[in-house]
Order: sequence, then structure tokens, then C-alpha cells
Amino acid sequence: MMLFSIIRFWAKGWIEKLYIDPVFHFKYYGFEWVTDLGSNIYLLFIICGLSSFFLILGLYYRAAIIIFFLSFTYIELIDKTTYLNHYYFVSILSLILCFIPANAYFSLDNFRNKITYRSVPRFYITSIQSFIVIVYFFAGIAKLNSDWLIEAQPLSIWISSKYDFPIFGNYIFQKKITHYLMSWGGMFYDLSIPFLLLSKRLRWFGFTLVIIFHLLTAFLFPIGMFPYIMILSSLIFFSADFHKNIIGYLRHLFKQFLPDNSKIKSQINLRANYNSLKRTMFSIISLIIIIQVIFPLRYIFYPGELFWHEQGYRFSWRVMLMEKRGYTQFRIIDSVTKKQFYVNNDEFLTEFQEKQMSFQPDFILEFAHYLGDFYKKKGVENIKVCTDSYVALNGRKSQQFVDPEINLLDYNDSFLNKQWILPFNDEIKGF
Amino acid sequence: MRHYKILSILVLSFLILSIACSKSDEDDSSTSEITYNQSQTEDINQEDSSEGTEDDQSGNDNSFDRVKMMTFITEEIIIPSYDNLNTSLTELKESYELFKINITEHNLEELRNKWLNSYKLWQHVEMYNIGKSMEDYLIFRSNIYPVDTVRVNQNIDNGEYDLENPNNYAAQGFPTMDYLLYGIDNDPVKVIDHYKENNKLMNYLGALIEDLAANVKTVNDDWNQVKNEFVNSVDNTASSNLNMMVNDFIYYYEKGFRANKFGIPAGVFSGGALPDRVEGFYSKNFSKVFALEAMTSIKKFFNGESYKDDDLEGLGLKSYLDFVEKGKEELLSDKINAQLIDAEKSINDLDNNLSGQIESDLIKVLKTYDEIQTAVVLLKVDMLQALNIAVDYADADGD
Repeated sequence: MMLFSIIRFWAKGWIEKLYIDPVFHFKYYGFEWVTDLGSNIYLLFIICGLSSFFLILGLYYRAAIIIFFLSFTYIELIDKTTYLNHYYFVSILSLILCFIPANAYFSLDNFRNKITYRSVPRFYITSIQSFIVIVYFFAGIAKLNSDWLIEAQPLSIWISSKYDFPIFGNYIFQKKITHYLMSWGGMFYDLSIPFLLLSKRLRWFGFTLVIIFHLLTAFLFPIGMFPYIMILSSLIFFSADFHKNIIGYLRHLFKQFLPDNSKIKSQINLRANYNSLKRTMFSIISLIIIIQVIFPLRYIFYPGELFWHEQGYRFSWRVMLMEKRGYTQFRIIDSVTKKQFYVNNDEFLTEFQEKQMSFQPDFILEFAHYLGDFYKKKGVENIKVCTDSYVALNGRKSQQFVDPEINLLDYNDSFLNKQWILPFNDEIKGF
Repeated sequence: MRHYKILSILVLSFLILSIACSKSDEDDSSTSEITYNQSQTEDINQEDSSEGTEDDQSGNDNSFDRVKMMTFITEEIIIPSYDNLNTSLTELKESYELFKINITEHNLEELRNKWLNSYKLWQHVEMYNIGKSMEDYLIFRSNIYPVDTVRVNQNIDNGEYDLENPNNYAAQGFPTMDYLLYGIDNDPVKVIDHYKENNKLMNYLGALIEDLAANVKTVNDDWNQVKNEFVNSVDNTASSNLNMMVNDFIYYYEKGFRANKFGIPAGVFSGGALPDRVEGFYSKNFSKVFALEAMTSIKKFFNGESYKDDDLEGLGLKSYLDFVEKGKEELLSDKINAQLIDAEKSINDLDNNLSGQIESDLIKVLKTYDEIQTAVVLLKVDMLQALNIAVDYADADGD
């Protein structure tokens, strides 16, 4: 699955476009040390691809998953312009998998070690299930806001612009009622799906919904692999019998390639070699899960409108909630002579970076500092960097975003509230 | 047997998907059976009534006829603008021939007038950097300034040059003609002397006029050929003609109009004024005229007003925006129009000689720039959001 994603990424020439072309990368707070490696980045993609290939085979599982986690996450950390919730999902999932023996039952490692385990501790399964529950839960909670439910935004904008969609585009998609149904439906889906999948009776019904919902989003929105990842991930909720069936089918399919079964020692229970190491694994996974519960809640500590200042927005499973566009220009000022000039953003940023930068405060601040350093070196003295920035959110008219008089060089990025962001002129109620 | 079950459910779900597509979401309302039934009947009703309305293309509340808009823009704005420019350039060629045969002050004056007229008409086509125009680099071949005078003089002396070479972009087109007609001397009598003495100079001017006229004609002919096909590409994809045209329009407003005509010469991007960077630097008194022409073409495109007939209004971005924003109190199109008019007024208050204005009262130019700039935000942020136009570069995933 992930191998396909890597190949797709490569095929589209995105490596070059996103990681090599830009002269400047937006870094995650706390990960400023990550560099783009120049053209060595192809090597990193090869490593990442190979490790996912080994994962599929189940060969040298533990090493493969750790390498996969590290390389995949590193690639993501290079530039936060490309932040996507589902990349983050993959990173966290692979992090959890680092501590789970997913090779226990059916993998080439079984042939290598000549041991196969009949059962694994329930906890391993539960941990992955609870992670997926968390994702859906937060995605659902985030939809409980007045823009989503009462204004049907941003779906109104998005769906009506799909006028070129076959059959439905020109009529049904233009109807307000359609936008409301989709908004409310999406909210109910996210909130109810974990329970449907957990309940034995409704599981097939739930899974059918998962397929319908994610395929629908895949048709309508440019969201890449996310739908397929979620569909496959939710298979974890099915019983062991179900998976044994699939495996049995696979075993049958590859029969002639597989070594003779008889030599493999079948061991009933992985629990048999339960030891202190395993206990450590359990506590690490628990810790990851707990952090996953707490981290998305950090927005509570920031005053003002979350959608506006986006402090606590990322890494919180807030998916497809905003239609936000911005326009941000930087003024380089000599504070003594009062001379000033505007920066051409496209001299430093790709268009994609510029688009992302123009409405996200941490991007604006980081770029301001970069410009400050750049023009200081060029000989601008007593330098100040101010911005003229305008942002429009969910169909509202644009409004000024950053205090234009404030010198951004006076501020550093941190988890503290960014006071230089002007308050939002409207109110969005809800979570 | 299990495989069968999986398979059948997969097939089933695909079926449901294809039938229900837009309404599949309410399946979730298994939590409340009533909503489910209601919404289903509603959707069926919608489908029924849609059959009746789809034949009726105009005046439909639920859909905006984008093809009609594209047709109006193409047939009433773009093509007539090119036709006019084409005719004017033919006249320019003729007056050049007269001037070449008979180098007099009067003929120079005629030549200059035809050049001025063509340059004004050029302001109406520069924004359509699409199709053949883009392929042929028409804008680069026609209106790159400031002029590379060193290069121009080299070309004249050599008598051999490749106008398609990007290094020669700043040594041809309207700006270079401006230099050749006005810039080589302040006194028209002396200009005439130059042409009398230097046959190579005369030839270079002729070559530039010939080349420009040929380039414009190629693009003009192409528009007439592709127009029917062109107007039908209205999907919401980055490569559809509709989206490219809107993106081009905004790009032109921001770069070709705002930055090139005002921002750069006023020193907005450099910290110090650069009065020699204005459009029409050598003839001095036409910069404002060009800018006002450009503003007229911007307003016509936005509002969907015919190029030739001022009273003829059709579908343009304004009607598209009003369709998307129906029911809103404060219309974005009104806001944009008000801002464009403010900007126009501000331009009107400037000296004809923009270069001189920059030197005498820069603040006034900077204020004009700010008025123009305010509309950039409205076009680029508010309008693009309202229309949710896919942009050129965003072919990466979103989430």
C-alpha cells in the first residue's frame, strides 16, 4: 500500500517540485534541523520504498518498520508546506507498528525464524483500533461548528464548484440542500463510524459506509491516497477469522512460491514469551495513544478563533474544514531612514509554498525571519519586516490578518499565543 | 463462501455509490430513519425537475452558463480587440512605407500617431496570455520595457539579429519603437536627420513593425480558428480555458498592470524610485494614457462589456460572481467595481508624464499604487475563493 504511494509520488515528479526546487523550506517548530539533503533525497525515497516493500513481504519486519517510520517521517519533516493529515496518520501508525509484532502470524519472517504464532496479545490490536477511533472522533468533533453545520461551509463552495461533475454537477451539486446533507452526513459519519466498526453486528454495515464515504470523497476532492488508506486501515476492526480467510486466500495464491509449511514450528501463543521487554512496548504504545488524545486538545489554550489563527489546528485531525485563501506581502523597512520596499515572494517561494504561506501565521513568521536574515546580509540596516496580509475564510470577505505596523522580527515562533494576529471579525461557534 | 460475501458487498456498495453519489452521505442517518426517507424523496424530486430545466439554458437559477460567458468574452471582447489592433498595425506598416520613401516631419508625425494608436489598442489584448499568444511569447515580443538600448544599437549596427532570441525581447516591440521614434533625439528634426543618415536604423524600425504586425496577425487568425473549441472548455480544472483565462486576468492585473506600470517605476519593490522604468518612457506623455486604456480593458473584461459597443453587456466575471453570491447583501462584484473606479480616478489625477510625476511627487504615485493594490486582494483572495477556481500550480494533494 505505502509502496504504491511512494511510487506515485515519484512518478508525478513531486520530489523535485516540492523538495529540490524551493530555495527555502518551511520547518516544523522544533524540527528546524531537518534539511532537504539536496539530490540525496532520491536515496531517501528509495530507502522508504524498499522498506515498505519489505513490510509487505513481512521480511525483517522490525527493522523495516523502523526504517520506514524514520524515512517517511523525515521526508514529511523537510517542509511543512506539504503537511497533510493522512501523512501524519501514516507516520503515527507506523510509529505504533514499530512496537508491534505484526509479523507474528503470516510473513516471510515466519519462514526465516521457523516460528509462527497462533495469537498475539489483544492489546496490540486494540491500540491500533483506538488510534483510528481517535482520528474519527476528533474529525467528527471538529465538524461540530456553526460554519460546518449552519452555513454548510466550506462544502457549499467546494461542492458547487464541482459543476463539471458528471450528471450531478450542474444541478444537484448546486442545491443548498445537498450541501447541508453532505455536511451533516459527514459529521454523523465521523462520529458514528467507530461505534459501528466496534459493534460486531453492525460491522459490515459500517465498513460499507467507510467504503462509500471515502470513495465519494476520493471522487470529489483532490485528497490523494487518504481515502484508500482509511478504507484499508479500518479492516483492523474485523475479527481474526476474517483476516485468516484473507491470508488463507493469499497463501493459496502464492502457494508455489512459499517454502514448505511443515518445517515451521507453530507456537500457540505469543504471550508465552511475555517478558519485561513486551511490557515496555505496552507502555510506549499507551503513551503514544495518550499523547494522541491530548495533543489535539491544545487549541483550548489559545484565545480567539482557531480557524483564523490556526494555533492547534495541525495534527488534530481537522480534516477538510476550511476554505481559506490569503494574500501576504512583506515590507522590508530601514527603521532609521524609513525607506521601504516590497518583496517579490516568488523570488523565494514556489507558488505552492506562497499559497500555503499566505494564510498560515507560523509560515508568515518563519518567512519574515528568513527575509530579515537575507536582506541583513544584503546590507539593509536597522531592518524591520512588516506585512500587508489579507485572508478570507469560508466564504467571508477578506480582512486584514496581521497587524501591518508590527515588526515580525521582534517575535519568535513558540507555543505561546501569537498576539500579532489581528482578531477575527466574526464568530464561529462550536469546537 | 466468505469471499463471496465480501465480493457481493463490494459490488453492492459500488452500485449504491453510483446511484446515490451525491446523497450517499445521508445513509449515515441510520441514527434517524425519518431524515433518511425525507432526503431521499427530496433528491428524487430534484432529479425529476432537473430534466425540465436543463433544456432551458438561460435564466436558470441553479446553473450559470459558463460557455455563454466564454462565448461573449471571446466574440465580443477578445476577437474585436485583436481585429482592431491588427488593422491599426497594418496602418502603421503603411505609414512606415510612406516615411521610408519620404522622410519628412509630417510623415514622422503620422508614423508616431499610428504607433500611439496601436500601442493603446495593445493594452486591450495584453492580458490574454493564453493559447497561441502564450505559445508565441507574444507579450514578450511586444511589450517588454525598459528597453535594452545597448542591444538595440548593436542590432542596428550589425544589421543581423534574431528577434525570437529571448535576449532580444527588450530590443523589439512597442517600447523599442518608442525609443526609435522619440528616444534617439528630443528634437523631431534631428530624429529625421538620423533616419536620413542611417539606413540601418530605418531598416531596423521596419523589421520591428513588420515582425510585430505578423505576430499579432498570427494570433488574431488563430483566435478565429479556435474560438468554437475554446469557449467549450469550462471545467473546473487547472487546465481548462475558463480557469486559465481567469488566472491570466488576475496575473495581468497584478504584474502587467500593477507592478510594471506603477509599482516598479515608483520603487515599490526596490526602495528607490526608478522613473526610467515607466511604459512609454521616451515619448514621455503617454504613460497615463496607456494605463487608462488598460484599466478600461480590465473593467470591460470583468463586467462583460462588449469591446466595440459600450452599451452591449453580456456575461462576464461580474455575472458569474453575482450568481455564486446570490442572496448576499454586499456583493463582491460591487466592491471590486468600486475599487477599480477609485483606482482609475487616482490614475487620472496623475501627470500625463508619469516619469516626471515620480520625480516631482512620488507620494501621489504610491497612493495610486495602493488603490490598485487593494483590488488585487479582492480579485485574488475574495473572488478566487467565491468561484473556487482551481489554480495553475496546485496539482498537489489537499486534505
